[in-house]
Amino acid sequence: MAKTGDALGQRPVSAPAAAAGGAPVEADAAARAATALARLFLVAPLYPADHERSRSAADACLDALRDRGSIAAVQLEVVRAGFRVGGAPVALDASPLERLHRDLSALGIARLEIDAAATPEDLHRVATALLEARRRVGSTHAFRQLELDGLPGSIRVAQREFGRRTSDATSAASVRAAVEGVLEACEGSSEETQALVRSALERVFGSVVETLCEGRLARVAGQTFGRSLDDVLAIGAAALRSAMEDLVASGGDSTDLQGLFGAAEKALAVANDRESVEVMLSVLRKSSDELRHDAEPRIDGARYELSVEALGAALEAYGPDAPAFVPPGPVDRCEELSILLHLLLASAPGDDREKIEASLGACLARPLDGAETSFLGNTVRALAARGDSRVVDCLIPPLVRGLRQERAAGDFLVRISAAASPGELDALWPHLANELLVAEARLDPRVREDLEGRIGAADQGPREVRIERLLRLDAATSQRFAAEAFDPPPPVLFPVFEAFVARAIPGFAEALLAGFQRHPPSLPGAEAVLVFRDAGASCRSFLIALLRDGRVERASEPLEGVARRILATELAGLRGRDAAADWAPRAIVALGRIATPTERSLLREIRRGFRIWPPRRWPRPCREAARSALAPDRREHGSLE
Amino acid sequence: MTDTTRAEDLVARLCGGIRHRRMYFSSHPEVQASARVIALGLRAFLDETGREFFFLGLAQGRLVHDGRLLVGSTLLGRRLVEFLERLRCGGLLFRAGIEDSDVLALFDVAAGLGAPTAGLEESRALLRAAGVRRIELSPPYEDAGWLGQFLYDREESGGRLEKPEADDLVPVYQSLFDTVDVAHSRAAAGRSLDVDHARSVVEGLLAAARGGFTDILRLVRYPDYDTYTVGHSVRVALLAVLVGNRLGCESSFLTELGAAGLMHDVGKAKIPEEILYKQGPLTPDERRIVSQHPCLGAQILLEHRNAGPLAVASAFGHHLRHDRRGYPQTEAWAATSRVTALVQVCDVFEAITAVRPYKGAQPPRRAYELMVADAGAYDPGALRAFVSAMGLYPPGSRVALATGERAVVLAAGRAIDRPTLRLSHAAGGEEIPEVDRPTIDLGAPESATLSIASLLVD
Repeated sequence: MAKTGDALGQRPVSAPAAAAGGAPVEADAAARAATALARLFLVAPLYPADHERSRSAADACLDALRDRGSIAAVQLEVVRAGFRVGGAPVALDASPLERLHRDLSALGIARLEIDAAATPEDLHRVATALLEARRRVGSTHAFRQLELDGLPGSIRVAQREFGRRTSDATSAASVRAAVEGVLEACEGSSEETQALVRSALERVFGSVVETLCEGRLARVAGQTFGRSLDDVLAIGAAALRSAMEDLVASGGDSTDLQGLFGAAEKALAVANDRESVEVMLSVLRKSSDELRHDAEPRIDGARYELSVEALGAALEAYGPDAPAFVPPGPVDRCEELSILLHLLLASAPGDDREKIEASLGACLARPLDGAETSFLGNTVRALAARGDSRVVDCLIPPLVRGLRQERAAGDFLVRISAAASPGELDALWPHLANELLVAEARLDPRVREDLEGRIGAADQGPREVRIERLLRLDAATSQRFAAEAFDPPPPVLFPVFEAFVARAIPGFAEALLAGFQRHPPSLPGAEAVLVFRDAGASCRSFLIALLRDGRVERASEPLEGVARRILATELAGLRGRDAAADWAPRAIVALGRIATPTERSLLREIRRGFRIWPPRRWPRPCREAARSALAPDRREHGSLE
Repeated sequence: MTDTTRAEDLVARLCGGIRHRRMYFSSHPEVQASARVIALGLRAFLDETGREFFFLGLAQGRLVHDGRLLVGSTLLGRRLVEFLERLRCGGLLFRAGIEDSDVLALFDVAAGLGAPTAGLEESRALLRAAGVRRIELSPPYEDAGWLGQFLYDREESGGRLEKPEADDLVPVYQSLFDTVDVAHSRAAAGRSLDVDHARSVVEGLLAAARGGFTDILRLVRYPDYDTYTVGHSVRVALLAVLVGNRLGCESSFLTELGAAGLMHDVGKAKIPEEILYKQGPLTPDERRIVSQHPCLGAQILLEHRNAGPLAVASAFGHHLRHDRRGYPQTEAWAATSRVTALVQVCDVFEAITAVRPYKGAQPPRRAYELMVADAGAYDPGALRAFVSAMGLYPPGSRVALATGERAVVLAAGRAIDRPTLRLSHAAGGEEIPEVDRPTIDLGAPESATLSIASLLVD
């Protein structure tokens, strides 16, 4: 590679970068020195200089720096990628080093020059002073000159002199020298490295020229320049500075200035010599606070309140405990149901409520998982607590229909009604009753018992509205009833049964009659049900009376009277083979319990076993039943024959 | 209003008029109003400028005016482009003195024209028979008699227009836009939606994007002032799909997500336009009316069994805040999914960063500042996932590097300000040939010295 100095007829100048490193230090010693210094910066705020911890860190640093035996000062430079100690690079491969780098960078410290005569106390004083200054300036990378008092003479602190012109540094020779220094440092590297460095320099310095290429340089320097490195080096630094001043003074676009600043930063990273870019930075520092790295970057007029780093921190702090966002899956059914229920709650009469209800049913058609069931349980309770029976009545039917497939509906209803308030139970009551009645429920005996208990607890206050709601559910509408609901008919459901019988729900009275015939209530006269062969009108009337008295578990006089008449009439009318019916003896005994003298006369006839006119004969079971029914009479009146 | 803006406005209104005419009879107030506005606007323009005619050209499938490609109008005016292509013409020439009846007759022809005509003469006869007097058809672009003009000499450019960027994605964008446009129109008219069509359009998008969305996102820069509700839905869908793609979602889910994004604002079709597009602040009553659109949208979509729960959820929940404020007000037991949270983030981001008639666009970084300042508004995970997928410079953004070069962002990087780029222009401003454009990952160690200096906007 031809030296640029030759092309310009200039003698190469030794690279400033090499001289700036101070006395050379081996890589290993450099790393030890930097690490020890970093450790000192950690302990210095906590321990005095003569403390063992402070002393050991300072000693380690100074020992490493003095390792090569030279008495020259050693420079510890702060560079972009880490440190350079005596010219040897030290990477930021440990957090103390990173912290030290951050602190020194924030202070704008370019280097520390440490004399061979420096003592551990000197080092401690410097560390303390710098850390104190660090606390004052805060976390921003401020471009400011620090006032550092009380520093020992053996350790010098050099700051980056942003914003301050040093006229003696701005010369074409220094720019060229800086660039040549970099190129010289690359000698011995591979051609690829050299090409890379050269290209970077061209790009960086060339972009500076490019930005100013609207004639400013030409006006100032009296000639135009290309973008090659040779051309750039030919630019007088003074001309360059003047051109940039011109740019700033003429209100050049902030984008240009921003780009220029960026180019200058890159140049600093490449050349690692503040003087080689000071010509640019001095003008830029003067130009505007807007160009400060951390403050108010502008893009096309936009003003930002946060730096990139601050924005990143704000994002991390936004709900810091929130779980990570995993790739979303399909909308879960809980959300779908929530939306449907919301729409249902918000809908007014006349809106397409049926469509929403249909969607709700379709949504619940598929089996529920545990989370969905739990969600729905909570939702139902919440809706019930609101007292909005309309939505409860929309939600629960399709829900339990789905759960019935797994025979889980009963458990679900038991669970959601557990510890429910009276208002909640009132809202749930029709559904609990419905589940007890409907054939598809297939309830466990235990669950049935639990539900019956809940219904009893909920059956407070006016019943009509609850009954009306129940009549709209599928037990009443499907007319398919669970056999267990009548085996025996539970008294807690008697109000329901009464409503169903009164409304002549097809099939219901028949089922109830059969149940009562198997398990007559323990009320005097209840066995009158035995005489009915079908659930006709008279049967239904009797059933209603029976259900009403059954609720209070006390037979009323009207019920007894009706039962007496029914039994006497039916028994008196028995002919031939009918008298041998299974129910007849039971009916005879039942009549005996409520018989008046009129009915006892019939009973005596039956006991006799025959009647002369109209002729009739009573089979033996009937005669014995009558004898049993009259037994209190016999004791009272002696023989009745 | 500049010529170009006026031309874009005309295209939007012509498309709207054709759409209305296809849905309604000729004397319908919407159709009549469209024709009146177009005729009035053209007459006013021609009077002001003293011109005799206004030419809207069609060249190689692109709408042009005064030698300029109307890229935005081409994207949003697929209906008009198709109409002109069926007429086998090179554009429409509107003469001074144009009347409402001319425009209405043009609508009639557009609504009734199913198949392409045999040629220009048949098309002209068709217009004459319909009663069009002051609108003429230009010969096709390829013919010497084409009525349009170029800024450049046609012979120098080889007689071909420079293709705009992302040329092959223009039809995809048009389809997306059209899908939303039609859906909103049908929803307003109480007609059924075709959500399956939306899915197929999104599938087309996914196929065209081929794993990267850079080019299609560049197309979304074009403002659609007249129909920004529609463009907004398209952009929200694109953003959602991009983030979902970045998160590794399967294509079937991305299809549902995209369709949901396209449909999320369909409820606005039920909001009176004078409220929806009101320039000033809304009154409390007007705000209440507008706040109904999520429920309305959910109801509209529920009527279509093929809408899918994700579309319904997005329509319902895209204004729900993470802290349960926002609207509609939901019960404490109501569940929301993170998908809905993602759509909410996309919706807000688009609203802040897009151009509107009443405000300019904010850059993405400013949008993020505004969003993080609103505590509790967003699902934190969704917000962070969004920012991570988009970065400060979303895919498709054009940026200037500190070196002076210009590039297009291909994808966000691990750091929000260090994306992957493709250089487009050298530092001197000269365009780099397409085949030579290098890709640079700013997050790679070798790119540590490079940085983005600024976001470029049109």
